Amino acid sequence: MQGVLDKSILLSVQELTVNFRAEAIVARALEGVSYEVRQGETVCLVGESGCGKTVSALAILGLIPQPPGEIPGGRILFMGQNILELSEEELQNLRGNHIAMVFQEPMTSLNPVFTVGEQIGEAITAHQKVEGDELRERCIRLLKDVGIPSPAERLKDYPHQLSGGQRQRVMIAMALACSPQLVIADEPTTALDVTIQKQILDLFKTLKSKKGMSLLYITHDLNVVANIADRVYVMYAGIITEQGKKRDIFQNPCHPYTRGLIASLPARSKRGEALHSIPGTVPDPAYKPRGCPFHPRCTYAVKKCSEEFPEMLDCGDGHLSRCPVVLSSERKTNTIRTHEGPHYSDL
Amino acid sequence: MTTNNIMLRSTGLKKYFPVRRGFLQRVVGWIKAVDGVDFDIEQAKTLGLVGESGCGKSTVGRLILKLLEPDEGKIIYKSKDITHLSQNELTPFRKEMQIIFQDPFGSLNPRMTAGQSVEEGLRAVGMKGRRERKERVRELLQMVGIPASAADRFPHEFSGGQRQRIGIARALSVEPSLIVCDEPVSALDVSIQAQIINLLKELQARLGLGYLFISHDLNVVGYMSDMVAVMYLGHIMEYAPTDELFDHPLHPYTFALLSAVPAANGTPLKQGLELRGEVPSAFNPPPGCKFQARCPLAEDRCRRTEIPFYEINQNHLVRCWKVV
Ligand SMILES: Nc1ncnc2c1ncn2[C@@H]1O[C@H](COP(=O)(O)OP(=O)(O)O)[C@@H](O)[C@H]1O
Ligand SMILES: Nc1ncnc2c1ncn2[C@@H]1O[C@H](COP(=O)(O)OP(=O)(O)O)[C@@H](O)[C@H]1O
Ligand code: SF4
Ligand SMILES: [Mg+2]
Ligand SMILES: [Mg+2]
Repeated sequence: MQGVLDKSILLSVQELTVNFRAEAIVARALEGVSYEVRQGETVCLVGESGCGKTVSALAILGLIPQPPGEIPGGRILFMGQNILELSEEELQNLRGNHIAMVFQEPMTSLNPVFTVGEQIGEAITAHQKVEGDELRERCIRLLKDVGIPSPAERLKDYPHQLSGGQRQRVMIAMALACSPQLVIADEPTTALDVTIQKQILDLFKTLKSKKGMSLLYITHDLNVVANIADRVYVMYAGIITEQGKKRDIFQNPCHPYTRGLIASLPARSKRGEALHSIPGTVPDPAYKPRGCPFHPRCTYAVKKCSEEFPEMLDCGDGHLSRCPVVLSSERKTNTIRTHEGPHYSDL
Repeated sequence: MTTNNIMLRSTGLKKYFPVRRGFLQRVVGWIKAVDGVDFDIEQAKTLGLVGESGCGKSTVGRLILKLLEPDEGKIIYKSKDITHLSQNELTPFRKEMQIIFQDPFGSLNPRMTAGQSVEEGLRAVGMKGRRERKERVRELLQMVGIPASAADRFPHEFSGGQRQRIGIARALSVEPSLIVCDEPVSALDVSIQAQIINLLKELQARLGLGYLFISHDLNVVGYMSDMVAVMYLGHIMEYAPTDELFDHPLHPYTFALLSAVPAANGTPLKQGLELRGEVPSAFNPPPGCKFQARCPLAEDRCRRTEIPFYEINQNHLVRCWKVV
């Protein structure tokens, strides 16, 4: 593995495999997933539901329930330490102090019977000795940082008194409480209106540049990826199918699944023509097809695709794709297709 | 507005919900969910209704289907005023207008097979022969891309996209001419969303259906619609043909929405207008423009007087005096 000694790499997930077992049935949620997050970088994991995005985030925090979960293989190196070998106590120190997480639905992660002030205060004091006025000041500053108006008054509010967007801001404030190096955000704007989503995405960008933290941003929404990512990992059925800089992924996608996803996006500019659609559905992780798990839905598939599990192939400059068919047919002549149209050209 | 081919026209439609408080459950105010709404839906065309959550989109849908009684205004269906028809008088119109929802799971009976759900509609339109019904169920399922062999399966045995297809087949069973699509693809993954969108378009072309297409997603609305109505707190703020609305938005709210929508090239559909704050409650709104609290252009007049719907040209209306 290249890069283990690279200081700029904050998080390195290597060949991570996660199964969920129910009696004799084994759901292979992740199969050899590898990805990296460098200092100060925003990395997006994108894919449709059930492809393993949340499981890969929970694994980083040591939050996979075992059983039914099991982690038969892989390493998760955070600042050089393998998270999978840490004790529960060490994990607790890691969560909050170094890595924090923001979830999709803040209502379920905020405690309804404690005030905003109590919960942010608790996030701070869990790891640091601060009290009294100083604690209150810290709470107010955090709320201000995440753009909550009249923060001093909001301290007394209960979660249900806030709007969805404000609750998500409170969650972000709690995540920032101990200045973590890495924030993991799992679909943090999926339940919000577009205008509020825009505000939250802008907030993440500002906080990231101000605090120099790294962001692992999980979403199913390619439009959000295009807005926020530096680098992108596309997931399908528990594997990484393509990875690269945002530009590579949108302008020069080399995996049929990525191409299909981009072509499926509705947009006013496509009105009047049928949308491209990927036939079929995402497979159940307990019954994945042999070979390339995407082959039953793939318009490029050849016989080999149903027989051999494809390797990650180099498309140059950190851009990798797990599809030998596209690469051998289009690379030979150096003609990897670029997506046409103004829609993708000005990234 | 054009008058030919109008299937459904709504004029001045209003629906207020009472807010009750205290021991005696006194009415302390009103949620002005729909506060005077005008639009037309043309034959075989789609009117997109877009706006943030809580702005009244679903209520409009339920009003035109007469699932809710409007407080004021008129619903004209194929030149007939159906606003005050009795349940009995409505029966023929019920078959003409159908609805499909965001969550087909919630709207399909879990104890009925896919076939039974679709067949129920056929019984409702009085198709008597059992053989004939079964044949029609096969046809309908096939039309929406569900293999006839799956007719005996229950909703939980299908994926989200397939359940949406069954919901569509059920709506089609009574041969409607207008369908209210209330966020029909919002809960689906992109690849499945594209399948359902294509299906809706195909069916529209084949059967000449009119759609009221409700969505909070401007990318989807822009793809689906011929006309777009942008809604905010019970009012339509702007109403225009799709391209006109996207290329020449006039209302500051439309502009702000377009600025907030990320597109697949990373740049928003429009740039320049940032929306601060969140949608205020529809409970006892202040007089004047509904958008005043968030509007960067707001002036005194916006807070004093009701803002009329200005007709910019034949097909483009906007509810803002500053931009006309
Ligand atoms: N606690 C669990 N028990 C059993 N299966 C699980 C559990 N958590 C996740 N899975 C399975 O793992 C797969 C990946 O899930 P997830 O990571 O949540 O997908 P995503 O976040 O991409 O939608 C799914 O098939 C899901 O059903
Ligand atoms: N049956 C009802 N009783 C009281 N208030 C309602 C009812 N239905 C909707 N509302 C309110 O009316 C407003 C508009 O709701 P809705 O039409 O569902 O908006 P949208 O579909 O745009 O999200 C909201 O404030 C909502 O809370
Ligand atoms: S009428 Fe006034 S408040 Fe309303 S949109 Fe126009 S400028 Fe803004
Ligand atoms: Mg998830
Ligand atoms: Mg609604």
